[in-house]
Amino acid sequence: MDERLKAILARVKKPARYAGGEYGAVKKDPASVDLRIAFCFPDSYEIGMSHLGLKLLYALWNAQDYIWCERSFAPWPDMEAEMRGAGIPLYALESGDPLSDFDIIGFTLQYELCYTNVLNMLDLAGLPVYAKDRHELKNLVVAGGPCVCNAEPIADFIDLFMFGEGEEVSLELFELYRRAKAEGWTKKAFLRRAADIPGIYVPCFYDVTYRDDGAVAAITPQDGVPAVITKRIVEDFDRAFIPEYFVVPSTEVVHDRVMVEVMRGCIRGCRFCQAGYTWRPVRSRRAETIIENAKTLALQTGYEEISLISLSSSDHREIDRICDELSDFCRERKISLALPSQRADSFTPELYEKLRMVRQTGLTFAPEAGSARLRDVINKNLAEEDLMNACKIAFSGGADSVKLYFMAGLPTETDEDLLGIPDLARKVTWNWRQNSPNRARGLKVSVSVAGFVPKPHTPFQWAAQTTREEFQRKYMFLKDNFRIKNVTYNWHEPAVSFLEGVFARGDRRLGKALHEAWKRGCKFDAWGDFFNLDTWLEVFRDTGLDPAWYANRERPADEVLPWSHMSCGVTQAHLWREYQKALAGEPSPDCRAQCTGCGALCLMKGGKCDA
Amino acid sequence: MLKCRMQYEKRGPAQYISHLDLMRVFRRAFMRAGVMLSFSQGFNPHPYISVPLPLPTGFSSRCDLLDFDTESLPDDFLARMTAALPEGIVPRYVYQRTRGAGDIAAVRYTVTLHGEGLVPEDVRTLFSAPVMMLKRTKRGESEVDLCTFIRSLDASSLPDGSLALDAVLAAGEQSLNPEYLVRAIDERTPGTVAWADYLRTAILDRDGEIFA
Repeated sequence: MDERLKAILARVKKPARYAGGEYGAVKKDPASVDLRIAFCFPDSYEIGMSHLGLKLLYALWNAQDYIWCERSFAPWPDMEAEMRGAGIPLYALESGDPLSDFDIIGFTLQYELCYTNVLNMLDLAGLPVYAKDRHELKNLVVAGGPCVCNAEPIADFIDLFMFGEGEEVSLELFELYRRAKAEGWTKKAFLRRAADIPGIYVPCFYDVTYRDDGAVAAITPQDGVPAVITKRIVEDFDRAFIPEYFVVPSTEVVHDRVMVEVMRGCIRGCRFCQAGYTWRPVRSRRAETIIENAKTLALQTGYEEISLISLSSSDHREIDRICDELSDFCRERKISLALPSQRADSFTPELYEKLRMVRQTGLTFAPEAGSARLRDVINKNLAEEDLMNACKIAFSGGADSVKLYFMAGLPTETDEDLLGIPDLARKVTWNWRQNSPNRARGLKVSVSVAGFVPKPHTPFQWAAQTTREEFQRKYMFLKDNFRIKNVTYNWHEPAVSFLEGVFARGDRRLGKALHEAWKRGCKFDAWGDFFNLDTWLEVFRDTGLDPAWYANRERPADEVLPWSHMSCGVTQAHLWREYQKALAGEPSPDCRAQCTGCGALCLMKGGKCDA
Repeated sequence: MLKCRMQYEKRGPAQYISHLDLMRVFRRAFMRAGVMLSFSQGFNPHPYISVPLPLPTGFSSRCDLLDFDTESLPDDFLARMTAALPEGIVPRYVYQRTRGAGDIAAVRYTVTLHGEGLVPEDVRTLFSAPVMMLKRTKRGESEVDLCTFIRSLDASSLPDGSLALDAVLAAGEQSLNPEYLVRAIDERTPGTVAWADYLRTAILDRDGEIFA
């Protein structure tokens, strides 16, 4: 290890994040590969190493003989200051080589408030942050992840985006790059060819013009590139690449466990949920594939927990059998089994027994809205009886803590709807008093309320976001009504939801605000300790952009949305229909009960949606 | 049940793994190696593993110890564990333990001070008289003479201008972290020490013999 780096690591917080050498990390001889890729996660090591997508693509790319993929994360500001002070550029953990040595620098965009970190990481690597200022094919900056469905605010900084599920499109792109590198193509020539790969979005080939009222007038493809970029999916999800090893962090990270993806897509159709719309159509893995992979990964990693993940894992048709068949394996090894995103209406005593077999675990439910009326608006088809029944099962079994997640600022929401939140919490505590076998241990109910952020490609993509002031009023109103024994109430910072709202539905003009905010020191905006609203508001003022115009304005049906050249397969007509039903308070059936014809089936090329 | 002890090196990237994280690393490595640890009973079963003498984050060691209980110890234990541990944690010996951690009385360190104008003679002179410093203890801070914790200390120059300390310091009930030595040197000759690295070379009992 570099002596300068050792001197720094002796001083910074949690140095294990910067040292590499974790079990499972892949080392190759750089001379033996054609392509070196740095997988960059624009947040801390602890967040990045919790992410399944990174583990999956790391294993997939390193399975190719011609690729060596390494990892890099955003250094915490104390480390960044030391690195800048010592002149150490951002490096990848496996080789310790600076990012500027890499052919491809790939970011995953999980969250809008990571964008300043992307710019900061490029700068720390010694690279120009603007795509137009990077002229060589080498150091190509690419990005994927959920934010690509509206990547406009960060489009000026990224050479190309991969839209949708990355397994196939990434390898097609790397093969093309390999050829371009061998044949000495220019960056421009490579980008033009890449734009012909389905699912690749090269923003410099799309001209955006604006109307006098500020809305987008047109998004015009140049040089014959496709007018619409359609999301890629893996059609046969059961046979899709599945990682058989994880890099196991040597220091504690947020989600540190075996994760097996059981489904893609979700049958529920919650109208606020971007993932629910952008991961369609629904595809499942067979029980055998899931069980085998869970065992393989548990033995390879040594983790003490297996999590079966998807947007709604209890909707997998064979979930009971999967849990059954894993239960002996888990019990012998003291491994717990977890189903995140647990739905209250499919919570059975049998399932609960399997989940708490090894360790007593806390429960989490997400009713999202306090009243049945508002749950119909957002199409969260959860009946209060189901929640109470689930609580009864858990409390009778000895559970003594429940987390409940809600949103505030949902379309059509009134104070009466909000009061449904403390009402539900009160009923949960009453339920515990009726059912707990051991009340001496006490109960902990934790209620979290987040500000609703309307997202692209959902029925609420046209809706106005609640203003910061109104969020604040709602939270305080709730606080006044939340004096309930055993219940704690938390709410999200309204300013953070506001900035997320601006960037989620922003257009390309926001790039200059992003650049300016980064220059003025904004980074780690998703972290309360670093988020600085005042700086952001100054930046918007100085760049002549009105953030409220982006976040708090209802968009008319005929407005050209900044992401209208990006298609997830779901039709705009379907989204609009769902929006109108929402405003009328009408729920839609889940996809298993009745197909609502969203349009995403067009991505399957003859295959079927497994709702 | 077998009460076992493993001696291992901790260096390179692994020197930055904190004590708390190390417990998790070992526990998972046992699982990967297919060595079943004995677990406690109860709501949250946990395995019996412990490090008798925790190593501060950032220190390297040639000789750290891990105590664990297991039902059976496979013949190829060391090979399996070596393959199952992260880079820089290298198992050397494994055996059934007979002595308790209470027998540990001292630890030997090599401390390398990087900087300028570091003279071995100054260090020897400094520690030939009482060196009073505020030391953190379980009951807050108190002023102590560092020399009462020093069993032996020597200093020598290295070709690159850095200075190597070879120190045997008290461990166990009354112990001294070698960072205090570096702090004392830095306070007496400000600006000379840029940074230091620490290597634990031996764990000793009351007779000055290797504790194993």
